[in-house]
Amino acid sequence: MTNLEWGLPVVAKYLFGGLSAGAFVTYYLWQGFGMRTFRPLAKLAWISAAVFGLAIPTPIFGHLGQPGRWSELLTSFHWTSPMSWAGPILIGYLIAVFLNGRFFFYRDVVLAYHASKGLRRRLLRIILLTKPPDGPLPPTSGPGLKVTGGIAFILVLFFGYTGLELGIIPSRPLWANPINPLMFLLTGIVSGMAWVVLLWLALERRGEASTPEEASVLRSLALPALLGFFLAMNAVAFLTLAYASPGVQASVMFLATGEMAPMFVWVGLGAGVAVPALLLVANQFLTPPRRGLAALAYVLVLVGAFAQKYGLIAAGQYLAPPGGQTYSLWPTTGELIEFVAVCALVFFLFQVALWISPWRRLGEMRESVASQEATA
Amino acid sequence: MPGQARGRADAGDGGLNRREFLKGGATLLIGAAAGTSLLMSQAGSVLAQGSHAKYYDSFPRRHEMDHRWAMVIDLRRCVGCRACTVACKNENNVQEGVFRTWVRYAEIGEYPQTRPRYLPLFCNHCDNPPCVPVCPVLATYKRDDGLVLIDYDRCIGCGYCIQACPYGARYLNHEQRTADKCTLCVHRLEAGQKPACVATCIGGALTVGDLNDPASDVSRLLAGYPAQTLRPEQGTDPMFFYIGLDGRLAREVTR
Repeated sequence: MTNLEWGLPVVAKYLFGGLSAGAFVTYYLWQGFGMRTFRPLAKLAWISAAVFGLAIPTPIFGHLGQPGRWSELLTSFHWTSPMSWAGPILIGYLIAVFLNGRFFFYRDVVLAYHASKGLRRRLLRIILLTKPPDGPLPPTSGPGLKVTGGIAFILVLFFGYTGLELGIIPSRPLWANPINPLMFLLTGIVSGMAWVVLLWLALERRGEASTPEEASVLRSLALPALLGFFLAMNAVAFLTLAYASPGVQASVMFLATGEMAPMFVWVGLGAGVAVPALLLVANQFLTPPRRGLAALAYVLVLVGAFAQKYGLIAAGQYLAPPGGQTYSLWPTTGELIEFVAVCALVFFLFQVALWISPWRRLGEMRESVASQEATA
Repeated sequence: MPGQARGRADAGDGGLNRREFLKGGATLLIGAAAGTSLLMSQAGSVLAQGSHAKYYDSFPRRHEMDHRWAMVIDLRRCVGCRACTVACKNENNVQEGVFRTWVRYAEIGEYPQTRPRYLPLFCNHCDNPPCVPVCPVLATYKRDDGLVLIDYDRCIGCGYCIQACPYGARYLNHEQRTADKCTLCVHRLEAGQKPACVATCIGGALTVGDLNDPASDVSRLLAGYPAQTLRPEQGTDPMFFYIGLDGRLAREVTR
């Protein structure tokens, strides 16, 4: 009995990648596509995209046999290995996201810079890149915002490379599926969107009275539509693969009815996709839409995204262990501890990001600046 | 609030604008479809031959090599003693719990007409090795004499090649923290000796030699007897040939 070669750390990498991509898409729905429903989410969405983006490589350092050689990944790009695409895609994405954030938050950061002092002030100065104006605030660079946002959005679409990492391996019949990249992209967008709304409800809406803006977010059809699309793609994939070669059938049935079925089918697709889609549709008919119901749906989406990824990755390896061994499907204690440690790091990064960044309403900062000026 | 975003905010604070929602959604879907189509086209070429045809054009193939190492396993002579497994472990200091060479056993037929059958398994040093192109850092490579080897000083231990191998021949060496596998005892071959498994095989079931030399033992065996390879449907073109391979055994132990 041996442990999975690709276990919890790989799942965590895919999960954080999906959360970052989904959060950025949520941000870009307002900033790029101008969809007003997502406007109140934009700042927290950008912060989530940046934090999860930074977190993507961290689980992999624990997974790699030689983590000290990670830089080889950045210098060995070649088309035949989707894993080698990670370097250019992730680096390009992070640079574009951070530059985009500089333009998106420009006015907020300048105001916050003038209102703050100490370490935060120094960090805000670094984020600004250019000298903050003392007089009236100039508008941010429109082309800068559009170009960096567009580049980051295009790179997000390539986050499906994670699905392609699995999809090009014919020796793993369950993975060798050309729709994997789209499935990974979809589940990433769905989970990232759910995370952002959940964070927004927790940080900005808790204890507040219901507003039309909130109702618009909670009644948005985007998430249930994407969940429905994802479920339909799973059904099509199952029907297609169930009638494929015997090797493929065995793998699919192992995932659908075997040891991994409770995690993938019941938790991943049932509780993680079908139930939240129904809850969010139900919210359409409630006045005002219920925060608790929506929050439950978003939590289920996040749990489901994890279960889908773990189920697929574990089940894909189960039928072909190396060297005549058998696999244990469940993570080791060490992997669990590493996962908790990485989650703690993500929590810490969120705390830092929320402390530094001026994500709260502009009015509060203007008041703060005015009060400081009055004191002076 | 950024200039652009502020401009939008000033335009009105209405709720869900369905026209904009549909417009944005359609653009998003088209963008996603375009991006993934691009990925799909690459995936399609990859999956077409079970590997990367263009990538492999740069490698010498079997008929282009001066010398092509290959092995013939005559299963009629294999008694399942596992001496090859032990010799390999000793020769290469293989860690506990994993094997570079191992023997699978299966009872073939239905009781009481069953027969014990053994199948020695190794890295097949494929002519079209799926482990090579997927390596993200180009640490695994194919030599001009056909051997598929690993640069242990470059390998990052990501396990991608382990996933890609359809024979389960690779494993993670927890001591050196890199991928590892059978090298066909390249150090012995270069010293003019046979691999440890071949040298120790008590039934003489294992034969190693130059496939491109018609006078070699492997060429003579392959000319004299019908031989099969494992999992030919994977398109890997293995260089390890089995004589007397029972199809039921191959299905039983390599699925």
